[in-house]
Amino acid sequence: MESCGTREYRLLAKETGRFLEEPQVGFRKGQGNALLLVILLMLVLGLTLNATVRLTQSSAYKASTYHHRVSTELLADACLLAALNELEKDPDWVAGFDREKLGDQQGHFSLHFYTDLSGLPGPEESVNNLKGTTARNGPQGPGTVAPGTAHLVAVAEAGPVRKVVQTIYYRPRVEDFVTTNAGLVSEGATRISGNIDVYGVSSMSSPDRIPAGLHANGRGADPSVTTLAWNSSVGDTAEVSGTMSTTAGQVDLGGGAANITGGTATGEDRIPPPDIDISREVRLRASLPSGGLSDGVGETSMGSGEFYVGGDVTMNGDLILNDSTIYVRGDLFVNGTIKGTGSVFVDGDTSFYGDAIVSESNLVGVAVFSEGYVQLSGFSGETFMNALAAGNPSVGTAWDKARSDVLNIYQTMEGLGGGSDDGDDAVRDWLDGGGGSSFPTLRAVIAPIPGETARFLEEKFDHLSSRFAPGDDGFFEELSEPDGAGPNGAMAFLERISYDKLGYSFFQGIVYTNAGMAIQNEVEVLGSVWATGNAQTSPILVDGFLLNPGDIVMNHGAKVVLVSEYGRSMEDVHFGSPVMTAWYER
Amino acid sequence: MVRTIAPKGLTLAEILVALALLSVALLTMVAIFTKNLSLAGKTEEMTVATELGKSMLERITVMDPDLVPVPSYFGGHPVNADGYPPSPYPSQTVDGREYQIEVRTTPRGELVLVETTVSWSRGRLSLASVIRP
Repeated sequence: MESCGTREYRLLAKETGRFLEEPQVGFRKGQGNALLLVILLMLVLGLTLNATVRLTQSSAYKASTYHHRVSTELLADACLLAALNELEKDPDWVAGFDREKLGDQQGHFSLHFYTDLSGLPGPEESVNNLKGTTARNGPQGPGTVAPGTAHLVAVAEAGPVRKVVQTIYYRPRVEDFVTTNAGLVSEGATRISGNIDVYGVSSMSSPDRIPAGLHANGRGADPSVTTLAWNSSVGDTAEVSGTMSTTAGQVDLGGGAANITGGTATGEDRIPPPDIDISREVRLRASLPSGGLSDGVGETSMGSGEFYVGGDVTMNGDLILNDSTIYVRGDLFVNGTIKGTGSVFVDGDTSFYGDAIVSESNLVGVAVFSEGYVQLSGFSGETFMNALAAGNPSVGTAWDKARSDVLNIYQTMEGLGGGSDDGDDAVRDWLDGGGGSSFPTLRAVIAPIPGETARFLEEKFDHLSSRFAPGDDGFFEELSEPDGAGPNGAMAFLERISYDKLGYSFFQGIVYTNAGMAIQNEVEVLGSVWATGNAQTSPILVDGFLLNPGDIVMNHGAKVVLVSEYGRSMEDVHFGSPVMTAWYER
Repeated sequence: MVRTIAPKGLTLAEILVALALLSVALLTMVAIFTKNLSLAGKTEEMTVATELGKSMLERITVMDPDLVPVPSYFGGHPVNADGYPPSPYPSQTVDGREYQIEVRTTPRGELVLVETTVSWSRGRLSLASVIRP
């Protein structure tokens, strides 16, 4: 059916006989082009816009993800550090963390322990086997967590990002210290004077002897330099059941009578010393109580347990340990006696002037661990009295008078003729003119102070009080006999007046320093001695000898009994901080 | 007589409709582009802020923690106030934008929580870690 327009057009064409353009139906040609163009333009712009938006959104997502990824890394690291901290405090720790947050930071971390001894933990469960003696099942499979280790799996989440980090911590055991046959190991040079006696025993309860020797790693030493020396005198002996060895340099036995069963050796392999961060060990105990440990004069008796002091400790007198472990974040100076059962950890230098008799306790296996130098020497009465006088002016006056009396009397005697018999009169004249002796005053001051060091000084002052007693010059008179002998006898007595005493050191356990060791006393160690030189510290001058980090100097002999099974009898005992042995992430 | 019908141009109505559509489309696009640019800016700012916070946190964690609360140096300029960085906190300008950095340390048992907060005109973010004292 044709439309009306078409019919009209055909009629018109028939009438006129002309061809006319056929009219378009609907739109005319060209109509709607603008709209079409706009739509096309919009399409192109829309596509471009869509791409740009997607690109920007992708960048924004990346930026957000980057922030979350950094957050999860920080969270995972924090989780492992916090776990390590807990394990250091308590090797049995299995409480773990559950969605712990860190301040305002987005996200959280978790660490869950698997505690079933027989089952198989999941891939994101941690296993603590620090105190175990056999391997346990771990997140990596059956029997994958070695004894003495902890397999930790930290899971951190922030926004859409999730991060799983695994690490294995290992806690050194006490027996790790005694896996060598050297009872004494220095990273630098070792010089010993006097008698040497070194041997080993398989355990504290067994008399069976095993070879044990001395070793110097001789760090950086020229091969021509002596790194292990015995400076012997006539009559000194050296008995070493093992080897006296060094990595480089020379072993010098001097001319003494040495019986070195294992002989001497140079060019030996280095014995790697254990690397213990004592400073960290000490810092970790910052929350412990002091237990009364502080500067002072007299006697301090520690209770059982662990104690911490956040600074230097200077004690004149006695420090008694009763199954006590003390941590000092500074230098520890004891001028007197330190004795008892316990362990001493010092972040700085350790100086014991007097007797030091310390036996490890609580199965820790540590006697003294010092980040700085260890110096053992004789008791200094002058230092003790100066400390006492510092807090008491009247004591200071008496103490000054006592010393000046002795000096002045001596100088008076020096002025007398060689044939004079007036030495005793010189004492009398001086005392009468100077108001008498002050030794009784000092004796009275010392008397109430507890401790064996105070008793030593009390006896000393008591003795001198009787020698300088008013109205009695018989002692000095005797010293001046026969008549005409002069004051030399009295002068010799005055010269010998000393308030000091030699010290003796005995340690049962490991004596370890990250610096060097200078020992002026007789010393006996049941355990082992280590000077690693790991500490960044300067050399010190000890009796004219430059002591470098890693050096050991013993001026009055050394008796070292290496206890090879020291740690083996304490299989559950691990010392020190867990150290990371492996780290990997998924 | 021959009558021809010449093709006509665009009608006013056509142009008006096209213009209206185009205007709406362009306005929408401009709005989206503006928002997009803003988002891109924020993205860049967030990346810069994360870097600054992370860098500061790393710097603090390798320091002796005891040094954190005492006067120290920041950006090579000595400062004489408490805290590290001290208050008022120093700022860093990156690509013409100023970022304020704040560090807070809080005891957390035996450990210390170190938190850096980076603030800028359009945002704020925090990063935290723990260190051994």
